[in-house]
This record gives sequence, C-alpha cells and structure tokens, in this order.
Amino acid sequence: MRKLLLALALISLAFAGPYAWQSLALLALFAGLGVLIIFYLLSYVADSPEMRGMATSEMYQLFMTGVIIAIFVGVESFSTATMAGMLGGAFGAENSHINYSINVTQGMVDYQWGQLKSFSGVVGDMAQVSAYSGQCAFLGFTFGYNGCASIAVPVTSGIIAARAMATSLMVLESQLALLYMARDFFFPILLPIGLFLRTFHVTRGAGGFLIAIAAAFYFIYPITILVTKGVYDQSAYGNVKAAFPSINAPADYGYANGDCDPYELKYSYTSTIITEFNDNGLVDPLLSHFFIGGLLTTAISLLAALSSVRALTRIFGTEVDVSALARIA
Amino acid sequence: MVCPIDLSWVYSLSLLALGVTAIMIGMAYALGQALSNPRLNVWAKGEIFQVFISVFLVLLILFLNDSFCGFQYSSLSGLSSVETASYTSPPISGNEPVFDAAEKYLMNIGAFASESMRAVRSANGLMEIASKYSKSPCVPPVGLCLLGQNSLTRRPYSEGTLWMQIGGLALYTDTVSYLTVLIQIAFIEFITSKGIMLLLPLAIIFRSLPFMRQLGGGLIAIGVAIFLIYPGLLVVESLFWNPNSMVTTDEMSSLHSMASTTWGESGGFSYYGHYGWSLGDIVGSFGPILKASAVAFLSSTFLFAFNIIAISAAAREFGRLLGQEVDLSRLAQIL
Repeated sequence: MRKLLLALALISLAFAGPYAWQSLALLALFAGLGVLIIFYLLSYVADSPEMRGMATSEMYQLFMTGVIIAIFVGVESFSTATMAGMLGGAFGAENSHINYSINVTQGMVDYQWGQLKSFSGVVGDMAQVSAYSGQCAFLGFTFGYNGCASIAVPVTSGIIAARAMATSLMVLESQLALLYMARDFFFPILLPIGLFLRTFHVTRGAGGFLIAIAAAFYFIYPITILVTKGVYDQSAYGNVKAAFPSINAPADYGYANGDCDPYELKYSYTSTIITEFNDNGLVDPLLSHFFIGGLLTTAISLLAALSSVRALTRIFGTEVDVSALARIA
Repeated sequence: MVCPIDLSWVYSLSLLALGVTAIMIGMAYALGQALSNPRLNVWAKGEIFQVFISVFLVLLILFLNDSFCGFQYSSLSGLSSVETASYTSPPISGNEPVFDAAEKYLMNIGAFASESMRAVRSANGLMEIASKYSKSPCVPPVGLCLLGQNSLTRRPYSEGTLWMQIGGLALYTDTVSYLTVLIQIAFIEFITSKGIMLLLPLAIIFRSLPFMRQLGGGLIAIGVAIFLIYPGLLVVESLFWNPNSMVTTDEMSSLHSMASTTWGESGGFSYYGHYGWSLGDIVGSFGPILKASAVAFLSSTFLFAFNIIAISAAAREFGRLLGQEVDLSRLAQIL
C-alpha cells in the first residue's frame, strides 16, 4: 500500500518541473512495471517459482528506480531554485545551473576569441617587421639585406603561443557543445531510457551507465565549471586584462620603417620588441586566461564528471569502465 | 540501403544447428542408455532444454532485427526538438528503418566533418598565398629606378603564418573526426553484413557443447549488443543531437563559403591584390572553423566512445546471464 502511495506521489511529480524528462521517466517506470507484471503472470502460466522470484526481486529494483526519480526531481529543483539565487548576482538571471554554465562558457569563448585575434594582430605586426628587407640594385649588381630577420625568433614563440591558445579555445567550444548535449540529450532522453533499462537484470548495466552519464554531465559537470570559474576569478590573474603592445609595422606607403630599419645593424630593434612582447603585461595574463582559465579548469570539470560516472554506475547498476571517455578527455 | 536484410538463410542455418545439436544430444542420450551411464543421461536432458533456450534467444534477436528493418524513422522523429529535416547529406526520410537511419546519421556527421575540413583547407590555402604576398616599391628618386631598383620589401599579410598554424590544429582534429566517422560507417556495414549473422547459429551449437556454453552465450550477448543496441543508440542520437544545429546559420554560411572557395588568380588572393577575400574575412572564418572542429570531434569521437561503453555494458550483463562475461570495451581502442 505504501509503495502504491509512493507511486501516486511520483505521478504528481511528473508534472512538477518545467522539463519533459519527468514525464518520460515516469513513463519508463510504468512501462517497466507493465513488463514485470506480465512476467509475473507468465510465471503462473509456466508454473515457475524461479520466474516468479525473479519478477518479485525486479519489482524491488523498480521501487529503487522510483526513488532515483524522486532524488533527481529534488536535486533539479534545488539546482534551479537555490542556485539561481546564489548565482544570479554574478552571472545574471537564468533558470537553471546548466544555463548559467552555458552562459559562462560562451562568455569565455567570446573573450578568448577576442584575445586571440588581438594577439594575432601583435604577432602579425612583429612578423611584418621581421620580414622587412631592403634591396639595392645598380647596373646588374644587387645587394639585399634582411636586417630585421632576428625578430622572427619572438614571432615563432608567438605563433606557438597562438596555437596553444587555439587549443584552449577549441576545448572550450567542446565544453560548450557538451553542455548543450547534456541539457538537450543526456538528461531529458538518456535518463528515462536508462531508468527503463535498469529495471531489468539483463540491461541493468547499460541502464545504470546511461543514468550515470546523464547525472554526471547534467549536475556535476556544469556545477564544477561554475565552481572552477569562480575559483579562477579569485586568483591573481583572474580579472587582469592583457595589455597589447603597439608594434609599429612598416608603413604601406611613405617608406616609414616602423620599428626596424633593415639597413641598420641595431641590437636595440630586436631587444625593444622582445621587451615589449614579454614585459608589457601581455604574456602572463594571456597564459593565465588560456591555460588556467581555459584548459586546466575544463580538464578539472571533465575529470570530475567522468570520475563520478564510474562511482554512479556502481550505485545505479553495475560498475562500468569509462576509461575510454577519459582517454578522449 | 541496408534494409531489407534477407535473413532466411540465417533462419535455415539456425534450424540446421538446432537439428545437429539435437542429434548430438540424442546420441549422447543413447550412449548413456547403452553404457548405463546416468551422468550422460542427465547431461542430455539438461542440454535439450538449453538448446531450446538458445533457439528462442536467436529467434528473438532475428525478430528484433526484422523489426528494426520494418521500423519507421518518422514514428520517433515526432519526439525530437531537433530539426531532422536539416539532415541533407544524405536526407533521412520518414520511412527509413533503424539501420538505414543510423548509417545516414553517420554519413551526415561525416559530411559535417568534411565540410569543416574543406573550409580549413581553403582558409589555410588562402593564408598561404596571403602570407607570401610581398611588395617591393622602388625607393625614390624615381628616375634612378630606370638603372636599377632600390626597394624595401614588406609582406603585409605575414600574420597569415600564425593562422595557418591554428588551421593545422583544426585540420588535424577534423581529420581524426572524419576518420572516426568512416570507421563507424564501416562498423555499421559490418554489423549488417550477412557474415556476422553466422555467429547466431554457431551460438546455438556452442551453447550445447561440453565446456562451450560460455562461448555460445558470449556470441549471443555480442549479437544483442551490436545488432540491436548500437544502431538503436545512433538513431536516438540522430533525433536529439544534430551537429548542424550547433552552428548558427551565419557560421554555417561562412564555413560553406570558405569550403567552396578556389584560390589562384581568379579567386582568393592574387599577386596584385585580393579578390573576394580580405585578411579580416579569412581570420573571421577561423572562429566558425574552430567551433565546427570541436562539434565534429564531439559528435564523432566522443559519442562513439560513449556508444561503445554503453553496448559493452549491455553485452557484459547479458553475457553474464548466459554464463560468459563479455568485454567489448576494447572496441573503444579503435580510437
């Protein structure tokens, strides 16, 4: 009787939230119940006590599935209501933790893309200076001199840095896509499928895995992203903006040399640009924003989610090895 | 076109396997009677029950397999908020069965990765030309230029070198994504090929041979996981995860425009100037390119690993029920 009352309570929960997953989860639960009832009836037809025992024990799993749904409803309500209040001041009005996380990640993507383009402008100006060369030809004799070529050395460093920044940007884009995937696919779809599958002994492993993936990427992953972002913002370089130096490239018209005259052998040309490049508040904030704010925090969030998947599979079904996903991460 | 799959020969082989196994068990029973060996008799009685269980399982798999071929994609597509009409390479029509829909979904992901790959290749080509472009105007006094040129050479688009390196990164990622999709398409072809179906009649025989029941159970578990669960997962993913919907119309337009660019004197940068593209345009196109690379990677590689883990979890549980633990997770090492 108590189980029946709980089932009736769960039906009302199906319409409590703004998302359709609750209805689908309840549908999965009742579909599982229907299959088990048929199985139970068949056990009488076949006069098989083993079959009846199996159906009864699976009923217990169905009850656990109902408890899992109730827990998820509670956790989601908490995350949408409570976290909205906590994070509203910092990240603006939103209706769920995952939308906050999407906004934060999108903001980081936009910011990093802007920084990368500005940085490429600086390195591009340096590349123009380094490629600047002079030729003098008279009556068949030609003299050429690349007096600014040594500036190519910091240009190479800049290109390597830009490549690493692009890696960070791609990782953030992947994070953004993964968040959309968690919001639109993992949680509303895989969770009900997982709940249905875990009702049966044969498919409990796959069901538990799907539930674990849905829970880890819908709750743990976005919340870890918000936490790591908050921690990063409190760090030394969290809010320091990079200062982009003004490198003077040679002018297109008017024969102005810019920051280097190819006919003059002056060490100061190179050293000045390198100093500008290194000491103008450019490299440290950029490295921090891209490597710590982009790569490291993303890696931490992803590893936190994947580590929890394994633990959650143990709770929801049977332990599943997710090392293949971790390797891709 | 995968469906319809003609499985009549598998049914025939399964019946043949049933007959052969029944004869073997019957001979064992007769031998047990002749030798007055009760252990042989008990074994034969136990095995005949197992044969029918094996046949039931195989017939169930084949029935579900047939059902997949008769299943209409449109009956599920109403569940989805994703615009399935945006699948165009090739289109997935409403009357597609599961296997065909799964294969076409993979082809669409492949087309997306290919589009991204072509875009970055064109962008890198344009950047290559731009970064090599140089100007060497004669230094005044102009009159002396008649005797010999004195000039200062500059390369105004040197920045292109940096973007080519970034493009190389995107190209590498796209190539991995594209190859992974091709592997999956080959995998689907392999699953629906007739050869793999031979596992099922073999499973009936193996499950009744002494010491071989676990192998037979393992074969059935593999059959369930890769015949049914893998294509089913792909179809569900196609309904809720369309990579095209992850990029905006403007971004897709930029990708397409860059992918269809030809360069040389008539297009892209020419020696005397640039036609059609400015450096800013090309730099701007790298934003959508990096995004498309990330989405292609996630759609092809991440989801593939996810699917493999899901089917290996299913195969393990089912195999355990039939007496043999099956580990399909090694399939993910294809990546």
